[in-house]
Amino acid sequence: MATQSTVQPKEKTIAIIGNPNVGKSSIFNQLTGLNQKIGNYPGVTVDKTLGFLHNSGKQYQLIDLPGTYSIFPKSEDELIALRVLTGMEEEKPDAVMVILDACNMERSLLLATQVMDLGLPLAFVLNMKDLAEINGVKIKTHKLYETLGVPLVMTDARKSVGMEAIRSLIFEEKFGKGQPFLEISEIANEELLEKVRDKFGLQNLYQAFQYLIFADSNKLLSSLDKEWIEEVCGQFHFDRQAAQIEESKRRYAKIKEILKDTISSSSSKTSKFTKNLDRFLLHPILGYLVFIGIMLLIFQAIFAWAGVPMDWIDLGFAELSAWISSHLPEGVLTDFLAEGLIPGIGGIVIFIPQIALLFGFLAFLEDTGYLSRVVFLMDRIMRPFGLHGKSVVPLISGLACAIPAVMATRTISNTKEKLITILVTPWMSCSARLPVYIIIIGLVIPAETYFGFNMQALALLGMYLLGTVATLIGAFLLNLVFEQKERSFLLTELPIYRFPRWKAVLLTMYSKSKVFVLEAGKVILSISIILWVLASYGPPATMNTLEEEKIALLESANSEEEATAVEELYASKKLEASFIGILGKAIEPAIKPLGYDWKIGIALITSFAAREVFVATIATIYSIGGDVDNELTIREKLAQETRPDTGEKVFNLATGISLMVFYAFAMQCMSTLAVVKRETKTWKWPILQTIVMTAVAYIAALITYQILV
Amino acid sequence: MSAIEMHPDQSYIIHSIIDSPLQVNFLEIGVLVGKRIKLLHQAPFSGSVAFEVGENLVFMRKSEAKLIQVIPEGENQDNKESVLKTI
Repeated sequence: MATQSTVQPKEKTIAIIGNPNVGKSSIFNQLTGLNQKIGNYPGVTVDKTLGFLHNSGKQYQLIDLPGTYSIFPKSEDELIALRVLTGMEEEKPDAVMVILDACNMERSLLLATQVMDLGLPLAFVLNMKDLAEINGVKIKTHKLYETLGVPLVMTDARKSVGMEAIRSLIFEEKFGKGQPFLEISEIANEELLEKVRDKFGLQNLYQAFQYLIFADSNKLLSSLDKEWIEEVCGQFHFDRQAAQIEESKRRYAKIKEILKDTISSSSSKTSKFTKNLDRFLLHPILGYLVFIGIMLLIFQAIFAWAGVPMDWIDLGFAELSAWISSHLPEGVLTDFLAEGLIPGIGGIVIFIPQIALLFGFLAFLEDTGYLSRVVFLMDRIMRPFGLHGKSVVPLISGLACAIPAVMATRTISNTKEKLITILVTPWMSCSARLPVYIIIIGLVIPAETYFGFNMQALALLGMYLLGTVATLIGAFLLNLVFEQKERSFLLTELPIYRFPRWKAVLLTMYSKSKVFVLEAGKVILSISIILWVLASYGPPATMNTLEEEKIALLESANSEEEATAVEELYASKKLEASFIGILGKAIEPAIKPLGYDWKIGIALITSFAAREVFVATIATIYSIGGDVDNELTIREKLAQETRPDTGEKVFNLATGISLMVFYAFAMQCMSTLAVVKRETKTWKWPILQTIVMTAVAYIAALITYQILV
Repeated sequence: MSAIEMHPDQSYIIHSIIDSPLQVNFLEIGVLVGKRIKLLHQAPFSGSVAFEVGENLVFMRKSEAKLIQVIPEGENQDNKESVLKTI
């Protein structure tokens, strides 16, 4: 399929592949540092991580392939690995670097020799040589090189040992091809393999073998080609699973033979430290207590630490907006910059501290090896809800922000469990709901203490519990609705505990924040701009009359205070007359049974961009002006607001609780929708999610109001 | 016997793995016939089970562990030898 280009390329591409937890990304990061780029492979959610190296005018592009135990394509990760290595994705890499675990050569060589058989120039990097030495494993590297015919480098990536050797390997292009490791024609019919090789223009029989194995899941093959493959498989009685098992067994047998002569191991004991620590961290009672303790610590830290930079960002953007409106000439462009674009960008940037911190913690836990233990502890608890042990991390992340949470579902390999996790995560009470709850609770719940409990604190806790219970019930119901297409299983490695690499943790924080800003940022920004246009413009005739009235009143104003009052009054009147005000009035009949008036309606509409917009919108509508962050003034204004027809307070207990219930359930976050789209690769799920969540929110708020009123 | 019936203090040898779509997954992660296996931890309420298999630590659900058939190490040595030869 991919033919080698006859023109000498200026850039060399080198793919890096290895088992999970082997230190592959560590080596990749050591080599390329910040010189990285994250892209997409078509049709899958796997990130394409590229890094660049330069030497004497030549550029080397490194592709960090997902961690995998073999190139049999069972998951998206493995599919990508095979697609890149066989050149189906784009041009084939010029060489491959396989990272092997020096402590676990047997399993590492399964993948390494498979890559060897694909026929690409390659080199082996034996990582974790420090641990191997501690464990008494001695590798006769020269003998191994002689046997396999592939260049070998020993490294200890965590301590940057051996990086120079890798660099010179790349720059001097010392990759070697080696002899085919396994005679694949002993496993599959040679005639069949030749047919496939010739049909698709492949280089060797092993590539043809892999083609046959993964024809089913290969989205790049046309249905005609797939039919053809099915037909020849039938002709030659080719059983895919049996062939895969046979291939692995033969490979292992041969690897065992080779390792007999090349490795001497005085003791093959798994690290004592890990086993001792696991007695404590995987303990049926202590293990859970430690887990809860770690989670509490993370949340305490995220809310406390992230708050400070978030305040700076908020203030910084507010000041930038103010500076622009006072220094640039008055006009549409200035208004757009100061009220549309800058707050829009601010709305994206403000989430960075939380996202970076959360991912920093997760990277830290992942790097130490603890996250696998969380999966071990939680799988049983999550299963009745149709979730996987690996769903725990996304759900916990959802308490801070659904955006990184949805991004964290990638580790779940089962399609159904992953989808359920993505769909229910936005019900976890994210930090954007907090300002809304705080304002409303302050308005409608008395600050009294019953039996030693503060009622307002209990109400807030109740909202968090409501979100968590809704998430689990939602998952349970989806589990009944969705069909299980593939068997759900759990079979994972417990990596040994290691000291975290701070550089890697920082790099993760940086790259995750970057992905968020670039991907979700585009959507938030465009929605903010649309909202600004809708809130700033209305039918020209009405808007012009209002403007003239305002000017007239301003001219007759006697004091600065009076002028400010006029400005505020007309800001509110203009919002009422704007397109978004018209929309608010239009939906009033629908939201009246929930206890809301048209002003709350406007806040509901703008909140669909992001929940925290509620506070700012309410502030504008009730013409508070000035300091939006001053929640007390907003609260005071809201407390005084009465219904024009009955004279009752707008924000009574029934309306307040109903509004909080609505915010707990409704899908009011454009960034989450954008990320769900990115992760599911279709608009179907984010659209359905919006409809269902909002319908549930409406019904729940309706019931709440009608009971309480 | 299957791997979930093992005694925590004793080592066993993997005798066979019951045929299932997970065969390849077991092979890849290094759960191979002839390897020494030891039960390390079990999560409460029939939750995940952690094993030491050869030099690796792995964990799985009970349904997966049931597929691994074992014999006690040292017992029935002839049987073990013949098993080792077949891989």
